[in-house]
Amino acid sequence: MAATLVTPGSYQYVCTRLQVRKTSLYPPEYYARLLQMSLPQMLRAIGEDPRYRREVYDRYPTSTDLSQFERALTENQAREYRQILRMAPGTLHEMTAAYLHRWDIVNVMAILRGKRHGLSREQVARGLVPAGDLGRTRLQSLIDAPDLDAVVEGLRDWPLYQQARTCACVEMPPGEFARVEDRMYRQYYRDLVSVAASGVRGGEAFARYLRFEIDILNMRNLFRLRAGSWIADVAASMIPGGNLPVDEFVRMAGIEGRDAFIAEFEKTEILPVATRAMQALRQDASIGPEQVADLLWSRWEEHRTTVHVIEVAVTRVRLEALDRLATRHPFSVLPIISYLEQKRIEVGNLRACVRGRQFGVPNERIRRYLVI
Amino acid sequence: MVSAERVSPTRGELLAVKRRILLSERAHEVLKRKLDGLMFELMRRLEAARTAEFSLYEDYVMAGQELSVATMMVGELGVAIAAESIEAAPFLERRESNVFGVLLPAFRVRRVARSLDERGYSLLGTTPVIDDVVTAHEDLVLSVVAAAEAEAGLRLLTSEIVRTRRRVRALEHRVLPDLHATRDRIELAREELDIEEHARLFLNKKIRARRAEETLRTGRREDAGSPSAGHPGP
Repeated sequence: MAATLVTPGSYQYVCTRLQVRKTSLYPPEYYARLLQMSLPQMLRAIGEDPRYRREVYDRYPTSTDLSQFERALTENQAREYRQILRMAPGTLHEMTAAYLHRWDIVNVMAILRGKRHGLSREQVARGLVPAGDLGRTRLQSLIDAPDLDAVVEGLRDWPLYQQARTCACVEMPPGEFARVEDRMYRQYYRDLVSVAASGVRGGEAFARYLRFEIDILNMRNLFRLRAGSWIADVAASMIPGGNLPVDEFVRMAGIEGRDAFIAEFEKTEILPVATRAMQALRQDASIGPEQVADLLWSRWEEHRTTVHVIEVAVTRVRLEALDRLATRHPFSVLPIISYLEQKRIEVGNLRACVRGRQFGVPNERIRRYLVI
Repeated sequence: MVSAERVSPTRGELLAVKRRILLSERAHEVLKRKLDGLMFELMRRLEAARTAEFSLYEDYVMAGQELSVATMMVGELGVAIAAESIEAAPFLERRESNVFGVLLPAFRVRRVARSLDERGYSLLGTTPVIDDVVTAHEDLVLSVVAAAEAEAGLRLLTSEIVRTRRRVRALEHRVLPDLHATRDRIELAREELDIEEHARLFLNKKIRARRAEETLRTGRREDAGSPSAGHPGP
């Protein structure tokens, strides 16, 4: 990639190409049509789409095994991501690679865990999604490594090698893998924010988006920690770099009063987004922030996690915001990130439709889990 | 089982049968009490078993729903990655509790319901839907163990009740009546023997008395017919 001539033209080319490609993503009406189909019809409809044909239809033409179908979807997503990574020039490439590191973390942790638990190579390979910077060949060489130490050594040039190093210890305390993975994600967000703020075009807007995403993740994890009876070390589970400092969340973890909780929650700027999400979800514009705050307080009081449907609705609102940003900054990193997110959402939606049909979930309920 | 026909009607045999009757009556009493106790225990456990089964059904449905939501939202891969992150398997310890001589299983489970830090998956790499599916399945495992314990207890109690009832009924309807019949028969036989003996002795006595009388009479007659009779000696 370093050899590619980076000109404003190449930026415009990639961004325009991705804007065009975004138009080929399924529109909301398609999901409504898909939900009217039976499971084999759904599989056929998706498989016959030229975008998915290579992975779904050509590879598993007669299979009705949904695990294979799901794997085909993720493979398609991985292929698409890597294609975009190859396409992106200069700083856009760096930014996209930093963004896709998330998948590298998933893959590396799956390999490390597989080695630790003695899983077979096929089992480990089945769980990988080579959508990041580490390609399939590199991941295969890691899988083929004889032991855990060799896997870690094979990651020497990987940006998160320092975090992965601790996995090579012979005596690892229980839960250490989870802590290592958490550290990797914290570093991932730190790197992503710093790359976004390093002067790349549209990076500032993306950094703002990221900071808000970090706030949402921290808030969501705070709910999870409370529900999972583990509020001893809140700071270690929070991602720094959001709009709100980690200390705020640590303080929030101890709140037991309604008014104090709502006052703190209002500081996060999540409330207006959650309110918009709730209004869209229930198709009721009269829902106000007080009602949303009350709902969240009741979940907080009952030591429960946030409602998944609301999370989906919040994701929907945030994607709309990202889309608007991408339209406002057409020749920046934002159209790329927006497309990557939209593609991820599309694969997730298709999976939700198929799995929902498999489990006999009513259409109305499936629709609530779709990010349209 | 003692056959009444084959028993010799001796006093020793009668005493043995009476001892056996006493023992059987005592065993019958004890077994009846055990049966009552087992029935009481069964009724007591029945309600708990019903609750455990109902809770198992509810948890099974809930776990299925959570799994379907999780598979819809993060895919089978996401669920599998979280599942493979578990570092320590649940531990099931089997103990036994003695209820009226029946060894009922009592399971103790460890490392099933865990806090978030003990589950082994990363907080930042997963979503809350994984927490919910894990919690639902932890509850399901606990319900399965509780239902298994309750059902195994009921099965063992029921089979013990059936066995005890069979023994009580055998004692009531077979062993004790047979022993009573044997005792009666021996007593009857002995009574007949006694009467026979009494009659024999009576007859013997009569014969002896008659013989003695006859002997006496013969003696007198001989004394009267002799030459010296009526003449005093020189």
